[in-house]
Amino acid sequence: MLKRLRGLFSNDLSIDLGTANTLIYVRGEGIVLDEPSVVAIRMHNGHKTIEAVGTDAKRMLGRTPGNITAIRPLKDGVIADFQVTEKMLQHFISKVHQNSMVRPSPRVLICVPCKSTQVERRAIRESALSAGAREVRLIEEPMAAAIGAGLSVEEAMGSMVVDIGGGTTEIAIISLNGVVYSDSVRIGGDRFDEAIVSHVRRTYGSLIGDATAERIKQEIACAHKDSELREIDVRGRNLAEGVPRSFTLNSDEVLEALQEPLAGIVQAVKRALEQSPPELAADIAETGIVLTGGGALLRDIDKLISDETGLPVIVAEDPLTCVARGGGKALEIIDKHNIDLLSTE
Amino acid sequence: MEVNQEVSGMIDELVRESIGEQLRKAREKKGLSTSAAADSLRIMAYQIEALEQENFSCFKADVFIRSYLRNYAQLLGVDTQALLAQYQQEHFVERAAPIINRPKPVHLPCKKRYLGIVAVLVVIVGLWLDNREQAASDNAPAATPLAEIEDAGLNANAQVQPNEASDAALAPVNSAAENPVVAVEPLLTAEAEPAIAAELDVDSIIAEAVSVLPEHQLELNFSAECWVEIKDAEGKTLVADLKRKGDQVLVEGAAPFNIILGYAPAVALRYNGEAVEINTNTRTQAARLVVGRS
Repeated sequence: MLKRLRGLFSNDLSIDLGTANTLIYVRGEGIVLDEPSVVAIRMHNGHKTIEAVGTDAKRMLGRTPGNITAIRPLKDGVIADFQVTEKMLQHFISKVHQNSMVRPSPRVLICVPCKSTQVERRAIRESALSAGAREVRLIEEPMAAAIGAGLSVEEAMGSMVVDIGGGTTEIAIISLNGVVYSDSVRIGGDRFDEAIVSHVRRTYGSLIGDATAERIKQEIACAHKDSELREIDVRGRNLAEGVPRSFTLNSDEVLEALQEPLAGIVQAVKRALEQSPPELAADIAETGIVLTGGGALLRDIDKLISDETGLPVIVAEDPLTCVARGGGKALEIIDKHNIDLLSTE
Repeated sequence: MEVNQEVSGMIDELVRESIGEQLRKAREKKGLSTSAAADSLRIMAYQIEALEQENFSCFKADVFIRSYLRNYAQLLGVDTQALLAQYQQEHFVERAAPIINRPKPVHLPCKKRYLGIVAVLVVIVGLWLDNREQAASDNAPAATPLAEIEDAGLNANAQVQPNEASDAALAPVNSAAENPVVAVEPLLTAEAEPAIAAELDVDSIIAEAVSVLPEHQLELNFSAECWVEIKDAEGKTLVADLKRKGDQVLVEGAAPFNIILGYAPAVALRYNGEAVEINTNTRTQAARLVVGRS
């Protein structure tokens, strides 16, 4: 009862609870929150307190003293630490409702990986409910991504979406507001970072942190051999000498390092095409594959997939926010048509 | 100067080629056929032609148009940004929601939160009262006839009052309700004038109810100190007193009577002139009895 009352003062939210970033879309306002899914926890006399959440906490990743731990409560798109996820959601929901006097109790739509188990979905639902949500609906990530990318999902026409997130890559073929085929591989931006870290250790004998690896990925990494060559200066700890050393990396090296995770994604895309019903495959051949998620920002990844599959590949506009925006639109569709086709349970 | 700039801007606008025209010219300059361009973009030749003819309706979604335009422009070496801006301008479409950067949140202290809850409660109570008022006003038409009837009744009373005979009847009937002992006789007069009795419905109903119950007499003589409590048929306490030796109590009222006697051996009880035997509780000497049950 009280939750419903408080709901009068809350907005409907669509949350893209990602491994790397959490985005919140508020109906009628757009994306209002885009922060890393990181929580810093301080241990004090056996009591855990939240030190920082989001951007502040991310800055602490790998730079914390003994009594503070900065953790990412989600792994591979699903909850790894239930309590911390709940606290993080609570923080983000109240941040979105900061000018409300009453504790917010919004209706929430959360995106989940399509290959997540019932237990994982329940964990996400429960954590959102304990974070104060009045009602929780779940939607499969590629569905939200397709809606967010502007594809006409309600038509009897196949569209293929590849959502390359932080932890997972979701591939789905969508037609008539439903998922015809979906697959999820646990390869994403994090795997790219790890590949870069291990490449640097192998070839330069130096250790770099995840944050540096991410910077390398964002600034110079590419997915296609014909891409323009770029260079970057990075600093890391030399393993043999034990002192920080600086060295220069170029995009060709990084491409070599990324070969394995990229091949995994391409394999998954090809598998999806093999599995798709022939009519839908024909539609996809005509319109193409749509890339969303942070991974779509990797330079020339569309060219790589296009070369490998022989199909047109396009990168959605503003791929990072596609899922959250799509979730917001899905909320409207659900409200307008009173259908629950998008929600999965 | 400004005017000149404006004019030149307008001329630019007029001179500016359409999207399709730019693409077609760039393609011809590169010496590419539509099918060759389509091959390198991995899209259909008809889609290239549609882009050049600005026949955007054949694409399924806006996202495809923009992507194909971007890719095609990149292939031909045309300025991608300008082309997309022109597309945006000439073929308006809904843009993605912009990212709004909100200021840092201020955590409300608990007190303020309670204030909020109190405010909400006040609003709810207000709404509820409002609703109630509305409901009352909705019921108003149903209520008025009742009020009219009551008024009519009062008027009738007022008309009756000048009549002396009815006046005389009124007073005893009213007192009858209070004291049933003296009510019997005046009631007869009230019944003799049925018109008045009908008008005084409330009083007469009570009076009738009383008159239905038969009047009976109890006589108690005390030979020692004794507590006595007598209730009539309606449960009304007629006597509740400590009586001394030699006292006599006469009670009239509706039978049956409920009698409690503190020391029963000291009491001689007569009901309508007949002696009544009292079954005494041998241990306490008290008695609890009902007299006049029909």
